[in-house]
Amino acid sequence: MPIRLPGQAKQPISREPGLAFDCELAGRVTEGDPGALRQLVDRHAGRVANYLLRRLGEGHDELIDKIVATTFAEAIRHIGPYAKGSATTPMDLWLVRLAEKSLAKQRPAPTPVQAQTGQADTPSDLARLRLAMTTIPERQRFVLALAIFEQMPAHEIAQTLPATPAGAMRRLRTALKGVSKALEAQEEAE
Amino acid sequence: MDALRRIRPRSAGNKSNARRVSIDTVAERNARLRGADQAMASALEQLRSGVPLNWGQVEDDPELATLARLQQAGEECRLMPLRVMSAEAKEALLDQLSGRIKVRQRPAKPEKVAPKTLAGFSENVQVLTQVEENVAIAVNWPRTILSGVLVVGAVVLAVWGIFSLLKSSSSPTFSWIELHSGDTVLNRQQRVAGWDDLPCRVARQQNPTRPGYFVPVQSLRDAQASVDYNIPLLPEGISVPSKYTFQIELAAVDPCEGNTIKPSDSGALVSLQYQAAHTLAATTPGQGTVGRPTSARPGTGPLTMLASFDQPTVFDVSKGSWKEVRLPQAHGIYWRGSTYRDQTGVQWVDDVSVLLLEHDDQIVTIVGSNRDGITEEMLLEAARNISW
Repeated sequence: MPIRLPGQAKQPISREPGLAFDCELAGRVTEGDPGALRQLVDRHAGRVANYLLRRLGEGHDELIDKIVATTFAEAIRHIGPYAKGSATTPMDLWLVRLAEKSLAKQRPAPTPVQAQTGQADTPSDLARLRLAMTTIPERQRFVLALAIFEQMPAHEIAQTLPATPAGAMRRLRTALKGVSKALEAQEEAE
Repeated sequence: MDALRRIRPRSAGNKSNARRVSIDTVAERNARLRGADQAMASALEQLRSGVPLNWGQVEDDPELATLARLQQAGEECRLMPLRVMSAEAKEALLDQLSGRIKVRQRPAKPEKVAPKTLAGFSENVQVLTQVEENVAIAVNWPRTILSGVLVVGAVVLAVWGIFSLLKSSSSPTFSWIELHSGDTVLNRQQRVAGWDDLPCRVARQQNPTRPGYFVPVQSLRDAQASVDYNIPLLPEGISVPSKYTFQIELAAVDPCEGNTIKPSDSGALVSLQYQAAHTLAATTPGQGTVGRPTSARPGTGPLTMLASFDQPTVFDVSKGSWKEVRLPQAHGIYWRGSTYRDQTGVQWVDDVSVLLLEHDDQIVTIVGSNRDGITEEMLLEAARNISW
């Protein structure tokens, strides 16, 4: 919690504490401030990269670096609402959304279950899940990744998609239904 | 102590007036959801806090059961070592992005440079700011476009006005027809010099309302024999605007001199009384028929055609409306009015149509009643088919 010094003006309580700072950085980035750009990358590159790591699994370092670069390049192009201060979605969630879009364009080949786990005979639950996720549409895959891998609450999922909370929950239910069928099919095949 | 007494205890019912701070908690957000959506949101929050879903939650909800089943995979995923971008990768990314934000930089405005002093002038002399110096040199496009539009509009208006003036001032030019409106002559005359101004022709010109003395002839051949020009004849019939047939019922000649028909009289007038049979409505019973030939039958109408040669023909258009007409072989006017007395002395009343044409040196006047179907369109079509 930041310490407020005596005499310092009380700042309004922000629902998204980092959003105001991100907006300030975005404004400086649009003015060509390289320091602000570095700060922005420092703040969010790790979040984006780790989302991609959990989403894809290990062994995709090159692809992750490429998508992170694409994500930030796309973010710089559309950073206007943050620079103006009119954006309401936290920047990290927005970047995760952009990363998912970039990932959908790349369409990486599904990794074999054994290669993900490193064990030839007993694939892990995570490997099974990733394989099952390849059978559902990308929109459902995204919401499932946010709920299972990122463990996001409902309102963050809604902000990231973007959708209403109710819409996000309905989409999550559809995704769970689809992935459940895929998992059952895997078990039957084994 | 007085101040303390004024403080109302919380039990006094001032709970509603207590200041509420808006704290947007997860529980509040999930409370906005209903039914299955709320159950799913609450389950996500519960799993996020590390509490597994119980049997009561998942037994009737297969999606929540799947969610509970996938928690092991989620935990496994969360245990993956975090990926830290290498310094080289970060620098490469920053280099790449720096190029993009440089493109977005606004071009710096050129600083105003104080103009150098011209040779022969001293900088020590204080020159006060002139009004002209504040005048913007840049082109004001909206103002320029507006000015251009106004200028073009003014030019178009001027051209239109000139054409309208010319059109209104232009009067038809005839050789033998003279259009009068009261004492005003409305048309220009372009008559061949040296025309034979016979006394009868001059008399008809000077007194156009005086009826002629028409002597009936037995046949069209007799009428043709009494004049030295070809008598123009209407066609036997036309089909526009409807089917009309024309039948000569009476032919008469007004000699130039006296009351006796002479052969090949160049100054004589010829009157041909036609009966125009058509498919339009016949004369309405009870209409005034003063001066009208009484031989009209239902579906037919009288039509009078007067022909002359080298005869100046005066026509007063003041009692009706008129317009110039141009046909392939003739040029003249169409007049429509309430009353008209033709050269035979017949007074036409009600809605009268008159077509006055000149073809070379021949002049033809065709008179009929609109109520009998003798309309402008019919007259023009008949005139187009005249055998001159």
